[in-house]
Amino acid sequence: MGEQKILLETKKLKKYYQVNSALQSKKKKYLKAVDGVDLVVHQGEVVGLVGESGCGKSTLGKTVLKVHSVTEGEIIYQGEHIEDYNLAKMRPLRRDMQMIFQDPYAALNPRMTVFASAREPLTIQDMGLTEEQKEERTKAILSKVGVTEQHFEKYPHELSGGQRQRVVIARAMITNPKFVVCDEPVSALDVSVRAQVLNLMRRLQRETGVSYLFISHDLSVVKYICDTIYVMYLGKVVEKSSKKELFENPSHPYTQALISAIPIPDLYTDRERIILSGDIPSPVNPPMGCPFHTRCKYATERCMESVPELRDMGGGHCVACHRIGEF
Amino acid sequence: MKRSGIKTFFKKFIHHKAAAVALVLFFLELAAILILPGALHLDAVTSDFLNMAKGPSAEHIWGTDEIGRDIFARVLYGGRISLIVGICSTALSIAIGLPLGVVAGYYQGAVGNFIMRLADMFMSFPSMVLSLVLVTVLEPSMWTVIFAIGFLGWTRPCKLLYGSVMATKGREYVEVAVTLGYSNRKILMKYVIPNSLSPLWVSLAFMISSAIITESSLNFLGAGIQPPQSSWGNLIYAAQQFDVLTTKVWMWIPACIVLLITVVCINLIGEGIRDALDPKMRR
Repeated sequence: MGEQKILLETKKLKKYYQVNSALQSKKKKYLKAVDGVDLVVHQGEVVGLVGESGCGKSTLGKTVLKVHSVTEGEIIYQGEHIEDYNLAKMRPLRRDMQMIFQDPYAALNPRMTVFASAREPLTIQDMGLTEEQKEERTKAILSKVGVTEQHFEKYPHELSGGQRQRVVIARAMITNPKFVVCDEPVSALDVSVRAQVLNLMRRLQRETGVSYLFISHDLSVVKYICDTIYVMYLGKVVEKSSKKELFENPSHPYTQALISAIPIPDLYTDRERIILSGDIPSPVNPPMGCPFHTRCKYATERCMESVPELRDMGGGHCVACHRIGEF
Repeated sequence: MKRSGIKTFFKKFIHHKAAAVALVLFFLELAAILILPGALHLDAVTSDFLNMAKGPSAEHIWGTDEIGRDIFARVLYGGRISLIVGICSTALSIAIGLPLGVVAGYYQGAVGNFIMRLADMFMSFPSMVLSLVLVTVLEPSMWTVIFAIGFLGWTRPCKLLYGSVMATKGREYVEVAVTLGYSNRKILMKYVIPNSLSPLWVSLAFMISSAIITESSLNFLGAGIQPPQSSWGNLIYAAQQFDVLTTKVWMWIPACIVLLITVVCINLIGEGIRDALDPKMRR
């Protein structure tokens, strides 16, 4: 992995939302959805982003694609700084950077047929295709993702969840992108359909060599598809590692708790379940020091005072914890 | 949408039975209003002094008013004016209110706040007094009435669109449009506006009918359509006199019924258009 070219990189990326209105001038309060994240995606790599709901993973994914504006920090795509690009400047890049959404029903325009939706990127991006070539390409990609011709003229509400997600995938892949953000692409789907869609996404990835930023709260899904995994907590990355290393040697107490929560389909396997007490703190008022100290059983005074930096433990395994190696 | 086109639209519209009936009725009424007065040489202004305030008879099939004018002719001629006032002033209201509401709802911020506060200001004025002033300053005629009603009515479609655009804007497919590389203008035209219009179709009928009523109120205050021209409004206002209301019902009932039919028809047609434009409705 290490020798491959970097496709996309973020440096100290921040996305804050102001929560009180401008008229209450006393003190501006911000919701720190993404708070200084360094992310590296190599060419052809599948990067997983996990964390519980509200930790900022979707916001990070959408900010990287400039759906939301950047508060601070850098986004570098193939050597190009895109953090200040506006809609028009981003347009040519959209061919390479696409997104697959969590809820395929909400992500399709209810007034457009399946075929029109899948074809849409070609009408925006000038790829030098004739109308016939566009039609053909749309048919090809739709049949590749498994949408049969009888569904082409249907509207989104007439399809099942799995079919809708296939249409969304077709739309994202039709321009042959290099980088696709997958925002919980299977969490809205039935378990039986989930595996099919995951397999489809993996097959497409292997065939086209696209890079995914795969966002999920489900570690077993991430384990199946990703090469590198980032664990997020309260807008910060707490652990980053290759998949194998993360599952064999989880080092951050939060990662350990997450991994222990994966159900094992075997009655006779005994294991220690780490149960986190309490809720995730509000990102409007994040705790001082280590964001996780309110729920961490190893927390000391130091954890309450200073924020741990993400440190390389060797081999690209980075952990943000003061007491790493002490427990 | 384009693939299916006008044919599917019409097909789906026809499938909405009530809307189809309403459309036919409305066209019949329009035809009557436009053709009958000329074809039957009806006269709505000359008094028949021998038959003043008489009930329906062979000569005057819907009777005559206090000064002997034929009610049937007055209802037909009045229909021309009332429909023009209703439709044109509503069109003017929408032409002003729709873009402002869409812009306010989509961009919000300072621009949106400015537009919405402006709308609040307009709504806090008693619009009847304001249009009275407008009409008298501009001298009363059909077109100034249309202008006054239409211009003061922009807040209604504006507020309506503001709300529904805000709701549509939060939908995920608008974010999708951003990731596809659309410009703001295209996102508005292709994603936001088509998905925000449905409440407008229903309120269309209310806007047209309330414009017709407002015209008649203006008329009652002496600032509307000037006599001897008639409108449904001033026919209905004849019922202000107690003896007309109780004993000379032929003077006001025809105009009321025709107005009622018109309003119901427009309402149903609006509903039919909304359903025909909605791909989720498959009848």
